[in-house]
Amino acid sequence: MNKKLLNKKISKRPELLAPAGDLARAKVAIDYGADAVYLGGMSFSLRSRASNFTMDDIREACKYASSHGSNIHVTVNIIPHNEDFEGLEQYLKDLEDAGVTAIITASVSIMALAKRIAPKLEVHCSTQMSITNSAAAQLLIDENQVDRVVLSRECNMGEVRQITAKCPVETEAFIHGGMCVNISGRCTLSNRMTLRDANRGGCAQSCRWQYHLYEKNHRLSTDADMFTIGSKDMMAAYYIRDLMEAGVASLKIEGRMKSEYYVASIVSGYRHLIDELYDCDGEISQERMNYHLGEINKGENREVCAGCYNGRAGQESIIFHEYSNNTVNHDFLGTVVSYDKDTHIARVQVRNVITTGDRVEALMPGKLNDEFDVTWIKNDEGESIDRANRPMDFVTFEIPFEVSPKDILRKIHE
Amino acid sequence: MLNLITTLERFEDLPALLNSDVDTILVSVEGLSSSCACKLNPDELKETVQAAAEAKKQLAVLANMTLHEGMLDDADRLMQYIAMQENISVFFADPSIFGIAKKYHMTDRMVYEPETLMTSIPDAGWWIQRGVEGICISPILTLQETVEIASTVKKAIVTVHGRTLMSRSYRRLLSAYKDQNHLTEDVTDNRDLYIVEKQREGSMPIYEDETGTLIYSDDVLDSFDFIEDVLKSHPIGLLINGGYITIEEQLSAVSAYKRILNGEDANTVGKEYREQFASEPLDSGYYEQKTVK
Repeated sequence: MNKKLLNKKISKRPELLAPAGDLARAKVAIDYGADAVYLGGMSFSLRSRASNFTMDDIREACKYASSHGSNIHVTVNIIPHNEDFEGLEQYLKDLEDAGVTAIITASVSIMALAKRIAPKLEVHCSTQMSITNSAAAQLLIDENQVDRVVLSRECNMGEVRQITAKCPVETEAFIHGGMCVNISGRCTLSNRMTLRDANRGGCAQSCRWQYHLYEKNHRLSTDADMFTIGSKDMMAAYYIRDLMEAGVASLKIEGRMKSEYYVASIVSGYRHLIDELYDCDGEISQERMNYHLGEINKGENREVCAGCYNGRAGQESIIFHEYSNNTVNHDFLGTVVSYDKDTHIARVQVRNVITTGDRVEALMPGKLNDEFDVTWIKNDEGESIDRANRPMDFVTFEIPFEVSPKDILRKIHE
Repeated sequence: MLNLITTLERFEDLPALLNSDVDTILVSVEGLSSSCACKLNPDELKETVQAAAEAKKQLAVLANMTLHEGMLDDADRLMQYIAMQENISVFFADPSIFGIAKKYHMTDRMVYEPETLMTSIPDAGWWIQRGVEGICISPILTLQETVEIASTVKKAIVTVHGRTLMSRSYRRLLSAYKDQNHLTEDVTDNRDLYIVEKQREGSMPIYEDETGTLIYSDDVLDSFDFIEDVLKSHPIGLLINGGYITIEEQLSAVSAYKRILNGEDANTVGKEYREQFASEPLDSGYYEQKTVK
């Protein structure tokens, strides 16, 4: 190895691991730069309300990933009851046959089972196991031969460094997306209040509800300031360099229930940030960092915090008001369906209101974003219109540079 | 012999528990435990060890804290001390504690108590194969699920009474709210706080300390209607949680379950108990309520 490489602070480009709720979103994630995509099958996975994958979908995702140099990880991360083991052996064998790279699981017996009956599958220890120290990781490596440990979101950056340095297998860390305010797997608020099992995919997010707080018979909260414990989402762009320097092998985005637009925007944003940090060995200007933050934030419509990377998350990490996570992002205008290079006319499927005069940015896999003005719009009948406001309708307008099918168009706010 | 276990919530309750029908006292200690119970310092732990030995009671230490990297050395020292004492079990959640136990050749004194995570025979079996003394079945299971696990693995401890832990956060949620709203009340180590969901009625105790924030169930589990089925599954222990109930209620629960273990009719004992504590929110938990995905 030459001296230049030996002196690098960032020795390896980490995997960017993205979520997908269905096949379309898996392909979008891969198109926009995910090195690996994690998804859930119809059973054995949390996020039961995400549109989970059939085995045919998983096979198709594996084929698509393989042809793009990417990998598929499958979540088998329920905290299983006895009945949940039915069909599990065959399922694990089918995943192995489908070409899945890894399963992510929180059950020690599922880990052992996978190693025994589907040995080509890597076993990744889920964040549901709340690994916050190297000794816990070591025990699972010794006893179950796990191939990767997903670190608890309660780890601070110093702990990430220490565990990664001591851990004989790869570590994975979250960088973006929703966070449980409680330690993963250790919350049954949903079970108690709605009988929906949080550890088997039914979480009703009771942590985001509003509560009165009392001390004996004295109410401490007011109607205007109810006691709430919902967590802001994580946005750890500022810590990517530290994570890369620590040697974390995989940087994970949360959000299997998120939209295609979200997946494209967030994956694209982090892809460019990771690549630039790697190419510059972590040394990028504040101006470039601000640019990347801006790109990532375009895809995010919720309040964010840095999780615990800067120390135990506190006041700044909690949502203290109702409905803050229900804002709708109107920036996603549409998806390119086709483009005529000669006329520069694009056919676009509408997702939010597009108006003549809008300044629009095209998000294109593998390319830098580019901008244009919408000068005219025609509906599918060829009639000129000022506004396209019916979601999923098709319209045409001119885009002065080349775009491709599936490219995403989003509004720029001046 | 089936082991009747209860928690030490207040240090001053120790004499009463030593004089009770309980077999094992589960204590929280500084540096290993995360619960609303008082955490014994090293001197108090030594005193408790000695007192328990004199009273011929068994002792167990709750080592359920999520251990961060910097806490491992302290945890190791505490485990080393426990390893040197006879007949002290350790109820643990973090796998690292089991790793330390292996080092001190005390795996047969370890009880896996991961609260919500012990929900199946295969997972219980995995730990039992590694030589633990027992596993604690999650209290969010139905009677049928509980009995299936206990009767299969043979080394199960079933939580039969008391408030159950609903959530565990590493964040100091009460302090965050206090700071946000400029409250003057002390919210840390305050056992008088509870929350009520806006559209519901139950009062859920909430407790914050240096380990984070814990929320307990609004009702108090009792198992009198189901205890006979539970006993037929041959658990090795029955756990009575003393958190957020009075010592009188806790001692009465210990006495009631001991009477049942000694052959008295569970319905009769349960009826007496419920009459005595009629104002308490007694409930059958999840025995008859299956959660959905």
